Amino acid sequence: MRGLSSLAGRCYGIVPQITDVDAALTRQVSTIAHDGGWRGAAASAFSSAWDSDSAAGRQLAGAWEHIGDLVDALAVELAGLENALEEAARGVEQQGVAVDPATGSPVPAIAAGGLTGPAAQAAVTRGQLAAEYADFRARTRRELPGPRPQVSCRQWLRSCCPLQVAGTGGRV
Amino acid sequence: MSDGYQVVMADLLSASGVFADESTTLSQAVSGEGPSAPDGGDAVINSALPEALRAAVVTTSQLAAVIDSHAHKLRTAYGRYHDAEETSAQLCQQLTRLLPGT
Repeated sequence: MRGLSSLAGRCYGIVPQITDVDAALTRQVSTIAHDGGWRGAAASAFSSAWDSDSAAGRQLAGAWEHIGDLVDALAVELAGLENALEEAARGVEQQGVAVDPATGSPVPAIAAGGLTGPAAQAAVTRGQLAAEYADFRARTRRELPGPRPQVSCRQWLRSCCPLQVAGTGGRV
Repeated sequence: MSDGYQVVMADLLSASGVFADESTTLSQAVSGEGPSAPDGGDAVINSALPEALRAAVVTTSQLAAVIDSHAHKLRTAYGRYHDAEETSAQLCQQLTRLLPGT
């Protein structure tokens, strides 16, 4: 979970670096093409190419932020599920059900066979609790975030990053 | 040449330097392979997250390369204007020499 939060922080950290670069270069282009008096076909081509690359840069910054949001949400969701599982495990352990700390699964319950009286009843209760916990654990695992990042990040990046190294204008 | 022409040339050279510097800054933002993906708790996420990060890193590197190519274009424009200025100056001198009484 800490790794995911840290990754989200790194993604968020890249956003201002891209927007700062974009702002600095847009100022430069404005200085030479508008204030500085660079005119003509070359100036127009360069200015137009930069406008398009600048828009792509802003979209790229948005993509990094989007990935950061997804990873952050994943970290929060996983932390919540982990807490819920730990609480459930603590609850059933208090009722006498052993939970394997390595796997989080309930240790197979002692069968009531051969036991009598309160011992048999306790064994049955522990068996039921273990089954309930195992069911809760299975449901929790099913609730893990699904393929949302796979779909949305890919689509987002594909739609917002039309850059081609040699393909932009800016003829001089 | 006029002062205005000189200002444009100086601005082009300066802008070329700024584009080159900012290209380096952007490259360094995603240096190496960029951020690595930790365990996401699920096989689908563990396969998708590195892919999304890789795509974002590649695109960021491409943007840095595009910015660097703009720096080269500005430098080329500066060079061409500079050559044109020298050629014009030489032409003026030759024409002046042809004038009677000079």
